[in-house]
Order: sequence, then C-alpha cells, then structure tokens
Amino acid sequence: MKASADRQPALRGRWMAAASRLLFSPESFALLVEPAIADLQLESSGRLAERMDAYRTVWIGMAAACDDGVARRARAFVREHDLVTLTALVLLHAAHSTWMVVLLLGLDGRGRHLGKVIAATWGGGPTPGFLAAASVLALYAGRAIVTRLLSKGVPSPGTSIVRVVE
Amino acid sequence: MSATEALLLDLMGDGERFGLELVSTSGGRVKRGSVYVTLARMEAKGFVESRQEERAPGAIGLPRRLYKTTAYGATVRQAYQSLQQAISLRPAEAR
Repeated sequence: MKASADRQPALRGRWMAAASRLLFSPESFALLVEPAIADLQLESSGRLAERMDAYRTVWIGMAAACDDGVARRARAFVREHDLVTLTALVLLHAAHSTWMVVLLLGLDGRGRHLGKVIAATWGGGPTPGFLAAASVLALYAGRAIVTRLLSKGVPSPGTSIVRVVE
Repeated sequence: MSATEALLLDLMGDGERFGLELVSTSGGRVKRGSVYVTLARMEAKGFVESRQEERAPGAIGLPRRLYKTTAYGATVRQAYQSLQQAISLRPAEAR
C-alpha cells in the first residue's frame, strides 16, 4: 500500500469517476467513491495485488453509494406518497395481471380458454384480444382518474385511492 | 459506536488524516475496502468531519479527503471508553 504524491500520467479510474458522478448524489460521490478513486490514482506500487485492492475499494464505495442512493430515494418516495395509495395501485396492477394471464392461458390446464367460454356464452361476442386491449385501456383510464383526483389536492396530503373511492 | 469507529477515532487523534493513512497505521485492524464506508457513516453520525485536500496548481486526478475528529466525536469516544472500562470491571471491583 504505497501512495506517492506523483500522479500517474495515465489516470486510472477516470471512467468510474465519470459514471459515479452521473449515477450517485454529490454527497455519496464525495464521501464514498471519490477518495477511493483518488487513492487508486495515487497507487504507485507496481504490484497487481495492491492495484486490485485499490479497485476493490472503489467498487465497494460504489456499491455503498448505490445502496445509500436507493435507501434515500425509497425514504423520499415513502415520504412523498401515501402508502395506502401505492398499495391500492399495486393491487390494481396485480388484479390486472392475473386477469391477463387467465385471459391468455385459459382458466385451467384442460384447454378451457376464456375465449371459448365467452364465445359459447355470447356467440359472436368480444374476442380475447379485444378484451385484453379493453382491459389495458381501462387500467390506464383508472390510473389517469386516480392521478387527476389526487393532483387536484383532494383533502389532505394523506389522500388515498381507497379514500377517493369511499 | 462500533469497535472500528472507536479505533478510527483513536487513530485520528487530534490531527487530520487521510483514509489510507488510517489503514496503514491500524496494523491491519482497519481494512482498506471498508475504511471510506465507515468514515462516511461516522461523518453522518457527526463523529468526524472531512474536507478535500488542497491541490497544487496544475495537479491532475481526484483530490483526497482529510478526516478530523469533531468535538462531539471526542466526547462520544471518551464516554465509550469509560463505558468499556466499567463493563470490564468485575462486580467486586466496581463497588
């Protein structure tokens, strides 16, 4: 672990520094990544093991900065959005996905496809393709309505899809 | 405060130190891979403060970071030391 004041002419870790600047917050970059890259650039011992160790420190710093960024974004997201609303939207998407799977793969493993059931019930009724397209449109319309209702600043910051429906 | 954090505060003393300096003076007790993560955590807790090194004109490459114990960090370190001593005493000695 020999660090010299003389910088190497070809600076190592330049692309990692550039990528980290774009990816991480200035604070995470300054505290976790930048000092590790500075050490890497100062590493003047020709030993491969030392250089690998310096690179490992940079990668650990980048992983920690990534973790820090994700945690910060998650905290901000939870602070700014109502968890009930998020849960309701997740459930809406889960219900939609289930509906799509049933529509496309059939009701069971014995070839009882929903399309055939629909065709048998209402001969000449809507095709599964039409139903799938309609359900996607309905989902996006539902989301747009919820978003519009919430953006109008309905009552409190704690507004949720459940309360809007109520 | 973890044992590594306490060790880093001890190694820092009153002066300003670079991360690598702390690693080399720790005699292998502080790993190079984890030193900056630990120092960042300590800075978030307010135990240390840091600044970028002053650069000579025309210097290339990224600047290193200098770390220094804060007054709060020194107080917490002292309290941690007292606690460690108290815990290490046997019941008869503690009376």
